Amino acid sequence: MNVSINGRKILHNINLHVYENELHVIIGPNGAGKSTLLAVIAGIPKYVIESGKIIYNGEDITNELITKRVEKGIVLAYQIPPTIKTITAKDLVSTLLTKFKQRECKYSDFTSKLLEIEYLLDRPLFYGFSGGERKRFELYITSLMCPKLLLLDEPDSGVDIDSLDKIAKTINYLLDQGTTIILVTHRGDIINKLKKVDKVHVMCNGKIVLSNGVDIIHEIFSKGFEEVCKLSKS
Amino acid sequence: MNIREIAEKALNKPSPYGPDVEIENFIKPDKLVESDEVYDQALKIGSRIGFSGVEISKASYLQVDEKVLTKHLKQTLEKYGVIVLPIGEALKKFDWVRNYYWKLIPVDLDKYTAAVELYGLGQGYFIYVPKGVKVPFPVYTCLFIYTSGKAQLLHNIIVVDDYAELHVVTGCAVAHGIANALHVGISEFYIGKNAKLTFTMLHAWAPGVHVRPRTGVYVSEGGTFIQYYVLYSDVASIQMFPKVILDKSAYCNSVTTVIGWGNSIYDIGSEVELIGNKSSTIIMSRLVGKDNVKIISRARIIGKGIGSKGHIECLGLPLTKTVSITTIPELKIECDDVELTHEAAIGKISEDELIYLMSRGLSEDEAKMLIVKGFVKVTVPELPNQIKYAIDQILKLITEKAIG
Repeated sequence: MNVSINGRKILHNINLHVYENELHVIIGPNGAGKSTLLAVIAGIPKYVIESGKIIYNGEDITNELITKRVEKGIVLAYQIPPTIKTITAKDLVSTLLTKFKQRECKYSDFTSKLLEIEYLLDRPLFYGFSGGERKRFELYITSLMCPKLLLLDEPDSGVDIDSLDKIAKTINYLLDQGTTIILVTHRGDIINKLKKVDKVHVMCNGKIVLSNGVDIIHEIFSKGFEEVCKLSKS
Repeated sequence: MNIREIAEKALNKPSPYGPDVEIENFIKPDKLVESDEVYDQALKIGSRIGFSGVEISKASYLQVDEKVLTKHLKQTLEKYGVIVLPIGEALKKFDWVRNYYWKLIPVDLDKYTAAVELYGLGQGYFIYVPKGVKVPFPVYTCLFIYTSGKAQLLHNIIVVDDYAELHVVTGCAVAHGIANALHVGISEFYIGKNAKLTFTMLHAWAPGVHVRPRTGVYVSEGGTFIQYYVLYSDVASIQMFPKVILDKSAYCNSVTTVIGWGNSIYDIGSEVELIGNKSSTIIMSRLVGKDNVKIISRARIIGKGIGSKGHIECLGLPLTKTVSITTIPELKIECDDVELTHEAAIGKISEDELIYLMSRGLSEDEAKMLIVKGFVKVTVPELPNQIKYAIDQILKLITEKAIG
């Protein structure tokens, strides 16, 4: 797949296969195109797919609207969800609980406790949330949507160790429920807390330059992204 | 000069605000009559502002055109010593009502106040709550227009005596298909020491209707006045700039919510004068417009009392490009120990917020509705739950209508 935004090409010849209930990790330096890749799969409208297709459960969803993809279970957890001062966190939660009632996944019973979000409900949505609160609440929100393919954009950045623990436990819980996950990160510590990682992909300059088992993680972090990206070029 | 003579001199005096209305087109003298027949007409109109048969049948003062019905709830209120009467009757019956008549608003303020005095036929209500009486349920008043081409000219007076408490919900609406009409409502409210009046207005007009409320409020020491105004309809024009005077340690919260569409002109706002030491006020407005709506939101706080505080918060949300919203906040201090602040923000719904909510599975309209619903929601702790619920329901309904 090739993707551009405002005429600028940002993803080049991306090829990615993810099977049901797998967890794939995408790592890479800032600006490598990791978030873009997740946004494109989720159907965020500002990107233009120049060529290629997104196939989900055998169905071509390349041109499907974002809301249609959510209906199919494709859910993106934002790296930085926007602050919406005019609605409370509870407003969104109750809207989603009604909206996704028929799916009856009931993940929220578990995730609300695990992520300790109760005290945030009366606040304006994401307004004045700390880094950890923001990530935990965003993950909680996505769990209300009963995701089948969950796209996690840096769920671990800017969070303290306690929040990181809660986030990792939630991801493991969702994996247990059969969720397929693509997780973008540039840190190793969340990976150590996950119960399984089926594949790790390294992205540099809009390309996937390396795909392998979780064992390559240590090598990548010891060498640094710059080195790995350079090596892959040669 | 007596009141009538003063009024006659002001009959051609335009208001400094809002478009000028040729009131003589609407003046068709008639008599105010007590009539049961208004009940059925009121039922038809009431649904526009969320008043079902329940609210209508509970209305202590029900007026449709110039027919009035006051018998409902009369007995219940009499038990508390509360007086509810058409203003004309109250003036005849009790001499002391004169002490509250045209005392907060000059009869020659403009041609609209003059018209009410000269052609008003004693329309409008008088409510008196005796000292220390806390009326435990909201009192509903309904002022409806059923016939086109007329002026509804009302003079309302509410007196809440010391340590008393009253919650009033006023529904004003016109029947579907009203081509043109003029509604002028004079309201003079007197709130005694440590007394409380909450006044909720739910208004639905129509494209040909001009509305000119004129309101003056005096809040005595330690008293509370809550004004919650919700206007959700198109209108030819509405112009109002109620004035509230706060004595020592008195408090006023004035909330104005407008959800407008069509070619309507809304010139709305509040003025609060903090004359007493440690008096305080919050003036809030939430303005949502679409189509060719023009909204001017005024807010003025004058700080005179030592340690008085005031805050203006005005938020505007245009739903279409052709909407015009102007906010005019004014803060004036006449004493150095006063704290007055204001904040205002006008802006369309942000694309990022919309896309985020759509990525949560909401359609574009659902996302907009959620944002607008949240936008117009204002928490007023002083209102009874029953009224809060009614406001929430109305806002929900009308947001759906505005977006859909």
